Amino acid sequence: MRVDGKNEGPRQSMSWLHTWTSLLLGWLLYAVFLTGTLSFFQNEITVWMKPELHQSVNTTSQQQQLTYALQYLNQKGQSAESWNIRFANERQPAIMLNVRQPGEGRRRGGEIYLDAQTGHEIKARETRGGGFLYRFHFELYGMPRIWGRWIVGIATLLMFVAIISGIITHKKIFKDFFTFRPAKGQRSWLDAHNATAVFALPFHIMITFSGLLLLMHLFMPWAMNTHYGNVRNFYQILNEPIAQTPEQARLLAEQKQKEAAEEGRGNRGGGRRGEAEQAAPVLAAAPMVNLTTLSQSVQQGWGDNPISSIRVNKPNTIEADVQFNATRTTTLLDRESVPSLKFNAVTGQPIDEAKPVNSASKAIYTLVTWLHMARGVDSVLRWLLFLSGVLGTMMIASGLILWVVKRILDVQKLGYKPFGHRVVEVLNITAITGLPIACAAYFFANRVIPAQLAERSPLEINVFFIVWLLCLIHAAVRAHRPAWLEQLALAAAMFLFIPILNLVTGGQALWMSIYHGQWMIASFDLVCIILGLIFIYSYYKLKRYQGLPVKQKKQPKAQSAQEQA
Amino acid sequence: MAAWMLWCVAVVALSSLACGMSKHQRDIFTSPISAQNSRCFEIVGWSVLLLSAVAAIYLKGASIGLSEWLGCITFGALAVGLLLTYHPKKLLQANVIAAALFGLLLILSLI
Repeated sequence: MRVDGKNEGPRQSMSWLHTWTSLLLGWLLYAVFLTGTLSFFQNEITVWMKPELHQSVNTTSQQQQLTYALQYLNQKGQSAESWNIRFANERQPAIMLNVRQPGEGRRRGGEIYLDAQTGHEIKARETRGGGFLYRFHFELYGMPRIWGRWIVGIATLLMFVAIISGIITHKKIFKDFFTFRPAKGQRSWLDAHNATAVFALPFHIMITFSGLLLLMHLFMPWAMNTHYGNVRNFYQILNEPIAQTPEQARLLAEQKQKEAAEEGRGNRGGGRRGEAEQAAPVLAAAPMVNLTTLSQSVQQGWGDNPISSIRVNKPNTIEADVQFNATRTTTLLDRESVPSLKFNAVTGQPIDEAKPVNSASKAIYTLVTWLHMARGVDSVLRWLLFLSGVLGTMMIASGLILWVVKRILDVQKLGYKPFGHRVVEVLNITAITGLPIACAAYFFANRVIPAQLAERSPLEINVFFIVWLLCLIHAAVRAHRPAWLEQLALAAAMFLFIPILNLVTGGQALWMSIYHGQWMIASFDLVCIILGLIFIYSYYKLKRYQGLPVKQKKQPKAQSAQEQA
Repeated sequence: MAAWMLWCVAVVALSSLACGMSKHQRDIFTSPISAQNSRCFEIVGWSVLLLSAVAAIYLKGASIGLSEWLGCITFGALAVGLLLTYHPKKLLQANVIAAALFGLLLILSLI
């Protein structure tokens, strides 16, 4: 039953549902899609935003890099709880180290970078980098995390509704699979909306469904709470290792005993975990085996799947162990499928640890969520996911514009613009061109704000939001068509300037990054150039557009001209 | 490289499917196409798609292979869609180029 009380068939009601749920959350979903799509390359964005790292050219072997890393860690990380070494690879030009001190929990940040060629430490500027865009895409900003997740989660749910109702509404999408009729106003926008939706339909379904799964503990905690006490217990029990051999069972029992002892200490101390661990007995020192030769033999076993990281627990003590992790997975159906090997770091004996067993539901969860996060996938699949995300972003943008275009005739008949229509127009501009401008401004701020400034990363984020707000004000103040044109021009100029900005503010110039094969840096600049060209193209397309040929006896529409944008 | 080959195959298969759709036949061909030929185009299109899916699964495993396959189909469809919009008469030439590119990549990957 509709709010306005009219009768309707199922397809019409779906159409109504599709139009209004999508409009209501379209702008938010556009922002989520755009920042989420960029997050497929959040490493690369962070690298670009730390231009100090660009000097590190990855030409040395992993053995050489490991030697550098161990040299540094043995000097400065002697008493650490654990070391994590990430090699320079196709996504990262420098060696990245994490040192966890006793009593420290798992945390982000605190990375130490070493030049892959010389092994010297590189002090990179403080920035949230791509992590900000990544976080924004599922928990927004400036509000409690839970709220942001709820809001994005509801939007995701409605996106799922929009996809299903969209398939029913535009039932001709499969019949019209390849159909695009350009320069026909509303028809063209509908075609573009349908084409971007249907070509990447498997992607849209995957990304939305897995988005919901990733937040399932928030939306449907009841089963987990009833059966497992709380959500954390659920995931812990789900991924509980199960021993397959007597040796594994022995190790597992040993580990459990140790954990229980640690917990006991923590309880008796009555304080936080950190204090408890400081009271832990100091382990006797012991020399470790030659990790370089060990890594060499591990790498030989893995062939063309390079070691991505090495983790050393309790380094240089009698309890030291070392774990090697590969880069890529062989299947997306198993959480444990990224090859990894663990050794006793003193004796060099392999440690055969028990692993969680797989099940059908876990396999499905792993498949869609790993695709969502592009975890363990190679660069080909990562690019395909990124480009599919671009199609999704375009689908939402074209849908939003379609809403306006569809109502232009009505508005003209009316003779004035209703307030609601104007709001949609303004918000469309703010989202569709304003957000890319804000992203570009974020990258600009990264390079313009002095690198040594303390607390500079909140400043970068402030620039992002202030510029976005300015785009909103600009769109509200200016008339519809000039607002589109000016923001498109600004976006084009900003993105085309980014490679130059990179060059003049200490980054690796585009030709040099290509020459050195640093594609994680070069592709950022190249994508910015392509985006700039797309904005220029849209600008000229809109500039030339003078409204549709008049069919009825109406005046030509001067104001309705964003249709070819 | 394998992805580009898959993309070439997707272009050929989807073009064939488009040739089988009465809607596009007027744009692509100068003379009318018989129902029998339309059916042939459809069968060829679907079989090539299926074969490429099997090849992708064989080479990279079901999960990764099919994910890549779907991704390549997406952008193959995009290419065919744009081609049908702006240069429908050049579809055959484009297919010859795609097939040649596929052959070239195949030789390169076999060396």
